[in-house]
Amino acid sequence: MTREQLAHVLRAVSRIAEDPDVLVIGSQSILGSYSEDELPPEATGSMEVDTAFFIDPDQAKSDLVDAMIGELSQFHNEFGY
Amino acid sequence: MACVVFFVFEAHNEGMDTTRLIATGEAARLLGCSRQHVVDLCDEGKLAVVRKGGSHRYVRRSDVLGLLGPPLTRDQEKSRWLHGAIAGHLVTEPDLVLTRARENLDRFSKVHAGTMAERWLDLWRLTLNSGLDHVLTVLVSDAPEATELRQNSPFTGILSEEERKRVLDSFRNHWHSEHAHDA
Repeated sequence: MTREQLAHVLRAVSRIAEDPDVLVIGSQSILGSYSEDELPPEATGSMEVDTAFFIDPDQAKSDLVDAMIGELSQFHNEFGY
Repeated sequence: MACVVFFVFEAHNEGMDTTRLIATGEAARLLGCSRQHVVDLCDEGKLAVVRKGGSHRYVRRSDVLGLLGPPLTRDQEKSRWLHGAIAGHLVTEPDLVLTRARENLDRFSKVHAGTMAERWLDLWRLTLNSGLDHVLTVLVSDAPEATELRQNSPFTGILSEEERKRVLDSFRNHWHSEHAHDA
């Protein structure tokens, strides 16, 4: 995943959850500080990015994001991540 | 559209005494490999033989499970459920599913050119050319490489939104009832 693709996902996640604060979990989080051009291929991880929210006690936001743009969704099919 | 969903799940630590001894045949079943491969692991010192009875070798069940690696995370298991639904389509419409997956591989490879994901997509290409049985195994296996492959899946556009929603709802109930104590 590239930095631009990560930014695209995060905008969608934030809009769907109506929450401006999104936590990026795992190896993709380094793309917040560096672009993929500055990193080895191993640092670009997979086509997925794991996100979470600081306030999401019943995982309602995460479940909504998952349903809308998660794995094997239409979003995934259209954009490839 | 009719859909047959099947899973090949191992129950790792559910009330089992993991320290008990098992024969190499049962070890092979747990690992999803041949008995000879288990014997080879023993001969290479990668799996300790605890006791020999006649021509039989016994190993600790816990040692065998250790070779399988840690249990899947929630996201990894959710991905396996979604791909289990894909497996259902694969056995009923193999040509359609494989064609769609190959088309997606071509599209996604352009999107992820130069990244690690491109390598996984190349590995998917090899997998799709290895026969249906192998593809089915990768779709539901909890082996580390299969788990990583599913995180870079080309199987989009196969499940309808309604079908995908049903899988996610079903998984959520499953996880809550059977894995809540893991958290």
